[in-house]
Amino acid sequence: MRAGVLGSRRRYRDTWAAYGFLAPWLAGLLVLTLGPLAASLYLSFTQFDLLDPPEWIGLENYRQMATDPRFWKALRVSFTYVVLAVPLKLLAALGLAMLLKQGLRLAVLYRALLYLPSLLGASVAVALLWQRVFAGDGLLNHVLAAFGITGASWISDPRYALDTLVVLAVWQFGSPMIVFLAGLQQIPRDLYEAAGLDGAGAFRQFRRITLPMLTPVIFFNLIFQTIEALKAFTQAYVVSSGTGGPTDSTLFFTLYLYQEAFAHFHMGYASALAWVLMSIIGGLTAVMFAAQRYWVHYDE
Amino acid sequence: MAGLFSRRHFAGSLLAGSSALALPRRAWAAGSVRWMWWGNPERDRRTNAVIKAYKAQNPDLAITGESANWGDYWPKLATQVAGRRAPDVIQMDYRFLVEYARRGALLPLEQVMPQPLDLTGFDPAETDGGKVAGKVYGASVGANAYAVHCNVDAFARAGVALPGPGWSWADFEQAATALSKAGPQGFYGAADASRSEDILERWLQQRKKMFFTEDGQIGFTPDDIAAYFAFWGGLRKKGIVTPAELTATDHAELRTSMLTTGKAAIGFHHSNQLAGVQALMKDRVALADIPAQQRNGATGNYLKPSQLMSISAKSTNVKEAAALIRFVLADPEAVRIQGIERGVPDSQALRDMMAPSLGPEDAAIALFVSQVSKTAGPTPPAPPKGGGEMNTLLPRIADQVAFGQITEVEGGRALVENLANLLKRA
Repeated sequence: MRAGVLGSRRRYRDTWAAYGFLAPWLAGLLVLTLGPLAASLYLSFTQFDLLDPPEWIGLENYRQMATDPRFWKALRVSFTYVVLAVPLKLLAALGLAMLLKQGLRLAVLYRALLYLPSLLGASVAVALLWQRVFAGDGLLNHVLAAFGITGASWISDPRYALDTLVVLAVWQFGSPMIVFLAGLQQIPRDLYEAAGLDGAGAFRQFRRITLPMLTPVIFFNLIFQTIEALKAFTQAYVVSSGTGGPTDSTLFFTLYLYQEAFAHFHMGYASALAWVLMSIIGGLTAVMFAAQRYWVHYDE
Repeated sequence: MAGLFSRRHFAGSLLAGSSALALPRRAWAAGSVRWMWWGNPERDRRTNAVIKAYKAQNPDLAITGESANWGDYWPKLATQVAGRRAPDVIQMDYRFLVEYARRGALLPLEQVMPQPLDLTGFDPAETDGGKVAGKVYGASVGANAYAVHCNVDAFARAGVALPGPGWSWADFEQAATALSKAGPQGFYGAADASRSEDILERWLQQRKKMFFTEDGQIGFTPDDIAAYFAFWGGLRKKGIVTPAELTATDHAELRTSMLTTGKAAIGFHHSNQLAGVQALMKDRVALADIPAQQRNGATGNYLKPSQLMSISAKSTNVKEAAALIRFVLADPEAVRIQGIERGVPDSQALRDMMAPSLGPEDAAIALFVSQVSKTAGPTPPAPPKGGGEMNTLLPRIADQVAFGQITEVEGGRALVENLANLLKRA
């Protein structure tokens, strides 16, 4: 009995100590995340221009999206970006991870070099660099000109502007590559040895061993990169100077949200857009989780 | 170890912290003023020099200056005002003055006039342009007009005479054609102004139309816009104004303008921006008035306050802010430092004082503004709430037309529909 009382008292004290240690994070969560989240949910039901107090208009903001052509355009741009950038980036990441796994000389050096673009990633400097490389008189066209090819004005032509951003995304394959590399190193060597003895070639080994064993890692990368792609903002903002241009061809959903909020001061509408984006991300993630049992193999 | 986190120790560090906070007290007692403006590198340089001169006279006053380019400035200002962190001194634009004043974000300047904001000797234009509902919410930094900026050296190389007063759009087309022909591959006679709100407004006024009527209605029809797009579309097809994919790289900043990047011989900017344009270019630049529908016809050009200086209604340093504004507008030293990069002062005495010391660009601006003032029409009514968004709407639709995604007629219709929708939502 006595021991039990003492134990529960200690547990009680430990709980408080735990909360004490959690407090800074908890305060941050409440004040910096949940508070603004609740405020934005409230604002999404209002008309608010930052200067006048918000005015309750119910579901009007959400209703308005149905007939807002730029809303649909922004959705289309963001989804095109996800559909192009995520698979290409994962392919590049997997391909390079396979190469690095071969145990090249200086593999550590290559790994660091290949990861570098991801560190620079969504930075303003890189987006500015991209602008210079893909401009009408940019680096790429100078290189093409050396081969007698006249390049387009990639970044300021609505037909190619989004593609240049896809290339920028693919170039930042570093973090999924590192995850793939870790996943590849987890696959037991004896599986390959056994398969080799049974006469399976490299391609067959890849299809029958590497890919199935890697599916949890692919799944992780897929979810992570899809969310990242839907949240992408800086690249389009910098490259188009915040316009999403030319002619809305790089109008990411996040960029449209930003324009509505900070260029047009439709804070209520922008909040509603943010909640739509969050629902889309949540919904997509849920679908992917539900679908994983059809293709993801966990080592039980 | 326990001692490290003891209550006493904690209290001690709190005390130490608060005494550290108390250090700048003296500066606080003397007041501190935050001033925010939009501009360009040249304006930042001149404004920081003015701040330095003011600090030399008022060593106890803490002044902080903040600048942003035009596009970033408005989100920044709105966010700060909403967060009750508005700068004390706010650089205001005519089109946003009504919106800010109406919502009580600005201080009626009557409260600080004539002391410390003493504006005796200034033209009535000094405060008239800053009036909303009978009260003054902004003091004009100077008068300004819209202008055609010409690359003088490109004109000379092409053997084309610089435009004189009274030129028409037909003259403009002729000059631009010759400039295109004479220039190298990829160099055009003029920037495509189909996305320029300022040129469109003057073009409409030449045709007896306007952006917005007194009562805040749209003052033009889809046909007017279609005709405007068709005019520029014609020039674009002939290859004498910049093609769509070049024009799209102009992000309404001086450093991305077709003129300063050397893509076109003619660009369109405010008259006071000549200083900023020239600072970015080796070739010399000269100003010309807006071409009219016929020779010596109405240009639709007008003078307006280039910028206004306002004080935040929430400022706790109203007196210091007003004194700074007086210094910027009326102190001979400050006026000399700034030149007329912010506009031509609304005071004959200051204009005379500056005349001998003006640099070549500033002298050209002053001359241009005084010429335009002879033919200028009245300043159009301030735009209704939401009307400021023409700023982003026109370039977007003009680009769609230029890239051939929609026709000129569809563009005209889209512009009016979208604008009406924006006014309704505001």
